[in-house]
Amino acid sequence: MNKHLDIELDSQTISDLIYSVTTRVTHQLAQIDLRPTPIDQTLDDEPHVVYTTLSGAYQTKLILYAHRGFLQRLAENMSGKPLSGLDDLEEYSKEFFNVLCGQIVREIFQLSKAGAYFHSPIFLRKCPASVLDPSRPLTSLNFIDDQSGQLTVLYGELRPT
Amino acid sequence: MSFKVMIVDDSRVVHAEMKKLLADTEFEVVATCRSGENALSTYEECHPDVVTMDIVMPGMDGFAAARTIMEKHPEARVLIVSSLAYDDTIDEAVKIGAKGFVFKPINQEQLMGALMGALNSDK
Repeated sequence: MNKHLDIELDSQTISDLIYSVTTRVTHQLAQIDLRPTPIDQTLDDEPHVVYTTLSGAYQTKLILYAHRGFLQRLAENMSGKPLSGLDDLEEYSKEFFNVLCGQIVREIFQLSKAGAYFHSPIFLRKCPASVLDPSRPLTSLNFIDDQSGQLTVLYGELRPT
Repeated sequence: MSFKVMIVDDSRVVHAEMKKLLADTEFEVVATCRSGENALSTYEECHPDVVTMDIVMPGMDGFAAARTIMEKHPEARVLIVSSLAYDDTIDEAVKIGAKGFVFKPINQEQLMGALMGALNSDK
């Protein structure tokens, strides 16, 4: 499945795509409405992280940053009941991210005819330096909800394979 | 009459969601597996009427697990259930002999339609 990117996607197109998918999926799964914010929470050391790598016709990293409060609200809205523990927080965060990644990959395919798979998401309570590799800068999209909860999606450049 | 369903997905959120969607229907969840490897042995034990199979899982992915089950059990009915839903993955599902594809996020109507379609695919 190593097709080349038929259409090069510019950074604005990818940014718009990820923005649109993130707001749609967050609303669809958890009835949370997000809007963009200039506040970059990746400077904090408190957020939890879910991340994966996409590989196929292109390679990149996709990372989700959010404080526990936001993920808890997300998980409780998805499940319809209070969380029973940290395991639940992790499971719901990963499933949310799973749906997000799948839809991002699908929309990239629809625009470029280039397909990719992603690896099983990994959930961490803090972001290790190895994930934020300074030699490969990431673009961040920052979102805020109506309760001041924040979500950040970071992604790397789509590098054709 | 109830039909047996085996759910294969590394997320127990999906297990819980599908059990909820299938409660009070003719489909009974008889087994849940969190890996492709586990699915192979569990299939032998419970011989479900339909298997729902995620694609992205640690270790053996859903396509490999589905292929292995169907090679050993040509009568097996496997539905692919995934957020990774675009031409290439749908084509792969068809190629391996899956009976349908359910897109995540799952809704009951889509799931029930796909399960009934899988059961009727032998006719």
